[in-house]
Amino acid sequence: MAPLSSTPRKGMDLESTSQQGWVRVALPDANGKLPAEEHALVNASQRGDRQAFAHLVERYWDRLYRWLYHLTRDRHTAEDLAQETFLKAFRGLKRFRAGSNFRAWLFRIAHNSFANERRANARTRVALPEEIAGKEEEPAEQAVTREALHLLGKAVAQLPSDFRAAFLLRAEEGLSFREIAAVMNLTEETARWRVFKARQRLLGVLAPQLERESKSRD
Amino acid sequence: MKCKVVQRHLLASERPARPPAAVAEHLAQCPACRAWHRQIVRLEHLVPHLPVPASSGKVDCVREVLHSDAYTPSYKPEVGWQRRERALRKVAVTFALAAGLLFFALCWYAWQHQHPAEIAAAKQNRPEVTLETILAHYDPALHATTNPKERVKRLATVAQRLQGEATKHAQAGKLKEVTSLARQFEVLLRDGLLPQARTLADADRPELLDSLADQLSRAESEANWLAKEYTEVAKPLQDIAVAAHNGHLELRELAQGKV
Repeated sequence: MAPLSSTPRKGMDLESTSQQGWVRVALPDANGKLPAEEHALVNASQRGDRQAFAHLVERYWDRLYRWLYHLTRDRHTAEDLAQETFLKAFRGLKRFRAGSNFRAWLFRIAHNSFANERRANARTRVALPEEIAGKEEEPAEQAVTREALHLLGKAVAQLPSDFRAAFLLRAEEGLSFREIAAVMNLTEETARWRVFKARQRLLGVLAPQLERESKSRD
Repeated sequence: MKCKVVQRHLLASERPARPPAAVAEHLAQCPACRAWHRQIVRLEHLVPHLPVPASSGKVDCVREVLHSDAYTPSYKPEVGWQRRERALRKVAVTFALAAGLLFFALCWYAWQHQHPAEIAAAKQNRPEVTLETILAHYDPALHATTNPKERVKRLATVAQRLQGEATKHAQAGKLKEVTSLARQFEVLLRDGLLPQARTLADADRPELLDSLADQLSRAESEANWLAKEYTEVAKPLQDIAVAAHNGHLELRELAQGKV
């Protein structure tokens, strides 16, 4: 049985692909450095090269969309916010300081858009995530992993959105606490605290399942 | 290290999968913490695999970026002549500032080092006040008088008239008139009354000059009092007071034969 960790790892694949209901994520390099190519794309975009910016959209769409989906738990809202984020970024590229972290800047715009959207729909009740088919794996582990993912999805959805946003930026995007703080306009310590609390709550809910999964693998 | 401390450290760490040496050492010895550590690492590994519905919005977004005029970025690259023009503008502003500073410095220097003759000339441009003009206005017949004692008495009368008019104008707040009268008062004493008093015979001095000194002393007191009452014309009144004070002192000395 192929373990889940055999799926794309950090820094291995910057292109994203989508299968049936499954989005593979492009993660940053393990050392957090952005490739030189990205700087070139950002510079070209700042000079008005639309094609270059379209490449950046290609590169970051899935990651941003995933994060926004986990925050909003609604596909259409997440897509709208992702599109709004990219178009805002496109218009505001002049304000982006060359050499700084484009990804963090993009996620910050997305977070602001999400915050605005949340304020506008303050009274809308939040639905639990849609039931989505997981990646197909070998039968024995598939059942255990699918159950773990199902539980994890539910537990993540029940986290307060600020904790959820910080935790996902850390676990999915690999952002440092400092970068998370910059994205969410917090202090570094508050960002660390939110990730801490999110991990603690998730482990509280998932510990039995993870233990069972561990035993089944052993 | 205690288990609770280790777990809190891992919860707060950026990369729980890579614990520091002290934590790793504890994990190697503690099966419970090792199991807990596996769980938190597994949790972090599972998160990127959380299912998310596929999105079709990327294509629309790319199309929007490529073709929509509504999102044209505001950046406009500078062409060569614009760069040159900006540079020239900076140079022009710099030169203008430097020229302004230089001009200011020259004016300041010229003002500080003005030639005494120019200052005198500037003063001469003001309307001339002389003893002759004063007398032509207040006592034209004085020239005909040859007796020094009589001349001193008539000059003292003119001084009294000038001071009386100054008082009247001061009470009306007429600065220009009071200033003119103060100047005439000074000139009359400096060029008329005091030189004439010096020509008096010793025998005539005590009686006449003591009474004139008293007159100037009163004039000084009155001018000082008026200067406090009518502050808008205080300056020329103070000039009258100073002239009267100096005249009074000199007349006293003349009266006592000290000069």
